[in-house]
Amino acid sequence: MGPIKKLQAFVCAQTFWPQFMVRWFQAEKGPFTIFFYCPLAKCGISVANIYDIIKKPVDTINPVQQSVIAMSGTLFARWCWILKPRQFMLVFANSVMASTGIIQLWRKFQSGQSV
Amino acid sequence: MASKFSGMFWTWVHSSTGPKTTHFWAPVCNWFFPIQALYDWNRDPAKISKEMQCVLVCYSSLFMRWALRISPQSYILFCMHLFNATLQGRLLIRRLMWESSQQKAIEDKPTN
Repeated sequence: MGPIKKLQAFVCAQTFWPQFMVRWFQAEKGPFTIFFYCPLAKCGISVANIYDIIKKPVDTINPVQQSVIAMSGTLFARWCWILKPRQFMLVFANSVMASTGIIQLWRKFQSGQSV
Repeated sequence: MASKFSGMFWTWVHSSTGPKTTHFWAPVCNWFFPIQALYDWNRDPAKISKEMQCVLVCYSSLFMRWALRISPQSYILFCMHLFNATLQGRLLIRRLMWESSQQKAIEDKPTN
């Protein structure tokens, strides 16, 4: 048994958890699997971009990186929309990511700088 | 032989996961992340965002594991995220080394 599985078994063995928490810990896409953390990582890009929008000056904006973020977010939002079953949370997360990229590009464009 | 290959090619082009659909271009556009990191090979460290680079390294590390845990496994996605984590990590290290040198310059400045 790998270390994550051992940790999961240890946590689930504790008696003070309510049953619904134990079921969540053991879920196929629960917090002891990678499937739980991947959408969080995608949201992390949006959070980092929002932090940069608020705190960082315009000359630190990387237009190439922001273009990639905006394009990737848009295409993945569309992909998650047309997937069966439709992934609404991922559509939302990718849309927010694309929006932050577009806002950064707009700020750069407004300031008139190129790089 | 040539006509069989061209038949397969055009079948793929017109398929539901071919280059005329988002199913194809969404994973392909992920490759622009490591390409962007290569383009910014010599970017001024003062203009690198430490937070964004940290997040991109974590993002690619998590998706490397994800690419191997999905069924079927996607080795192309795994390679893409491996390149991305390495290259974005390089930019992060450049930024951290620059910050460290800036801090050292401030400390070494003779106080008078």
